[in-house]
Amino acid sequence: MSLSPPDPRPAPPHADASRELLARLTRPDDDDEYAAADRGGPSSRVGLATATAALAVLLTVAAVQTQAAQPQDERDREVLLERLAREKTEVAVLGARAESTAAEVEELRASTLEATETVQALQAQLDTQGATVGSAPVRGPGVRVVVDDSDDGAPEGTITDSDLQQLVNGLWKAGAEAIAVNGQRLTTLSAIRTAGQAITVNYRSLTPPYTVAAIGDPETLPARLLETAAGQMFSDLSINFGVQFEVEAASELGLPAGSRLELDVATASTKGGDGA
Amino acid sequence: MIAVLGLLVGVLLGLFLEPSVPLALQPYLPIAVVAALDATFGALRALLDGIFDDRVFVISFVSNVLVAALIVYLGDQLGVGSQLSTGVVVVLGIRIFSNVAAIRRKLLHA
Repeated sequence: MSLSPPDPRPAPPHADASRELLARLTRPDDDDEYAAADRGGPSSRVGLATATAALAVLLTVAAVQTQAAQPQDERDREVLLERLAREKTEVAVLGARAESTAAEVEELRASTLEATETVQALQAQLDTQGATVGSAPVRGPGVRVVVDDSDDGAPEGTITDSDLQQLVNGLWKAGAEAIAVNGQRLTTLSAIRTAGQAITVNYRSLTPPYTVAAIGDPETLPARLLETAAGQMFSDLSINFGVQFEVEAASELGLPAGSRLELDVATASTKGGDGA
Repeated sequence: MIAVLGLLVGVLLGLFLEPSVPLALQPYLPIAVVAALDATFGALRALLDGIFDDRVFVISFVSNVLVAALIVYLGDQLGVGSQLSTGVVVVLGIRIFSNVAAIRRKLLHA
């Protein structure tokens, strides 16, 4: 600061403000209190003593304070170091816990996957059994057999419940895997019987003509049906009494799920019965 | 003579009473010290120039310390306490440097 000589020239009015400030700061003569003071006033010895005492107190207190703060700083540092070490151990512990938790999660995920596979297998099994029992809708190729009363309404030419039973039995024998009569799926609880004037299946009255849809091998099913007693019987009825009897292969049949499949008395059992 | 006496009394007071600075006044202590040093060096220079006046010294000492503390207090209230402290220290530091430079010129003629 002392290197820059004082600038005696007055600063130009539009001089850079910050430069002017710097110039003022480095020119102590400009704001020298003593040079500008009105000397000759009453001098106060008490004031001087007080001021110097205050100065001394200030400096001493500052020194003492700084001295006293040193051990405190040291202690603070130690406390901080201790806390750092503690936090580090905690971080390590938490890290280990995170690792074990991740392993646990992995394990649970694997077991969940396993359970999902089991559920899927069970579902597949259920679907297969539902299709067999009749509680699930099924699709597939098969035959459609349409039978109807004869046109003249003679009693010999009227289809009875036992005729339909024979036809259904014949279809089962011929290799059918699922059968529905007029849209009523035959289940393990289905009965074909006469109630009043009509034939009922699953407690639903049917009206002629009766369409018996059976899923099975469409190439062998019609021929094997005709070889059964039921097939023979319906051929005879058709020839002798004018009963309508048509068998046609279908490449795609859809059978609905059967109704009324609730069991009231029977419960599932894993033990095989002796049938008695 | 009276000044040296005051100095001695002040040092002894500070040492034996060990006044603890309240926490609220802690940030003003260094500023007050720097302001006091500024006044002291100004007085020393005036002494060498032969224009020392104890009245001016007392007034400049008290007002320097008070104004510096006031500026820092104001800064604290406005939330720029540390910046204003820096500003005060810079200004007073420059003044101390230039006073010391004048004293050096006077004493060593260099």
